[in-house]
Amino acid sequence: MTATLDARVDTAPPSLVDLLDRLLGAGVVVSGDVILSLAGIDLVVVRLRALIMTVRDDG
Amino acid sequence: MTTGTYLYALCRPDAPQPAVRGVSGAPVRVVREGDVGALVSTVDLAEFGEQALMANLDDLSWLARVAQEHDAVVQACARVTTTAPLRLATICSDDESVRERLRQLSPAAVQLLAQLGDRQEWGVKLYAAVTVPKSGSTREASSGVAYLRERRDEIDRRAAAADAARRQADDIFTCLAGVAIDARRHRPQDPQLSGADAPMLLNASFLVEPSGLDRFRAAVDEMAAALPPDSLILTGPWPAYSFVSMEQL
Amino acid sequence: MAELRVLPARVDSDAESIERDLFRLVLTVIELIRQLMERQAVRRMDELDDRQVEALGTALMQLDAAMTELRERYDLTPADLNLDLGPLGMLLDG
Repeated sequence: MTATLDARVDTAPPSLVDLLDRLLGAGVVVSGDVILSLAGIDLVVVRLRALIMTVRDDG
Repeated sequence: MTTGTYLYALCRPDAPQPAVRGVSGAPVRVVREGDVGALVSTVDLAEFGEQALMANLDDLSWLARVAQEHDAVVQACARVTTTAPLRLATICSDDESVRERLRQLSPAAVQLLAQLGDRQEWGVKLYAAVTVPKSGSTREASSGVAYLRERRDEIDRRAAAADAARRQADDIFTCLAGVAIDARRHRPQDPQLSGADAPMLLNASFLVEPSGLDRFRAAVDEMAAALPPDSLILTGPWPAYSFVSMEQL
Repeated sequence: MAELRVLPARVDSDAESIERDLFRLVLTVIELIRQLMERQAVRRMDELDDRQVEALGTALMQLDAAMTELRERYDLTPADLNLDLGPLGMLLDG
């Protein structure tokens, strides 16, 4: 069985996650914040995890 | 409007101006300084300045759009000439500061472009086999001691499986690195972004010479043959995104 | 460093589902503690005598049964109680 070739041809855009792996220095992590809302009013914000790193060079 | 100069990639000074539009529809041009060129666009700092970027980089829809626009420029250039891609949001205050940067980077950049040549990046991702659900046998253990023993056995099994998976990923990486020019490991992708059900064990990029591609592909196919279907995913060719870093330059 | 907010990340509850949503959060934390206790017991079982191991094992088994019953009361699967912490992996081993 050969490897599934997720081939990139000129017309097919790359998958976003694969692209972000390469364009951002350390990839992307999704924040785990949860907001509990009752009757449209945000009551509780539960901060679980938040991290995104980019390598940015400034001239 | 306060503007800055957004950089997509380094290239040779004779690189043609790509026909595609860049980030936020900006025209793309080549800034040349000595033996090195840079693909750039003028951008509005209201969108790409430091403060604005902090907010925009949090916004996945903005990030997705700009990433694709950036990649389109890099791809267009890479199709016709050696391209050393830069990371997203590499911004200088103006063209003159780009030139200054190119002057500083020039010897290293020239060497990098010479080394890259027409080499291409290929991505390899390895997923774990779907795990067997935990058996319910511990729920009806005959005694407290039996229960703890079963829990211990299960914990040991999981640890052994995790170790085996790590070793497998390392072996695959090492083996493929042996048939490539260079190799890099990335962090496993967040399943909330990739939508994957199974854990990702390996996320790597390999730099491959066109003449060495058949051998590389054969090695990947050989590994995939020994794994469950769809465990090993190959993507490519990419411009050499993972093999250019400003720190090296 | 910045947060990337991808999910709507808002658990919208009305009066009926708020109970279940809060319960789910609470059970997740309890499940975490239960698993940590089990791991610690397993780690130490060789240094304890048979009577202690039996008492510990029985207590943990009963706790596990109680957790299962609580989960099922609110129609929650083990996966529902698992939180994704990104590079830290999942909160629980599943």
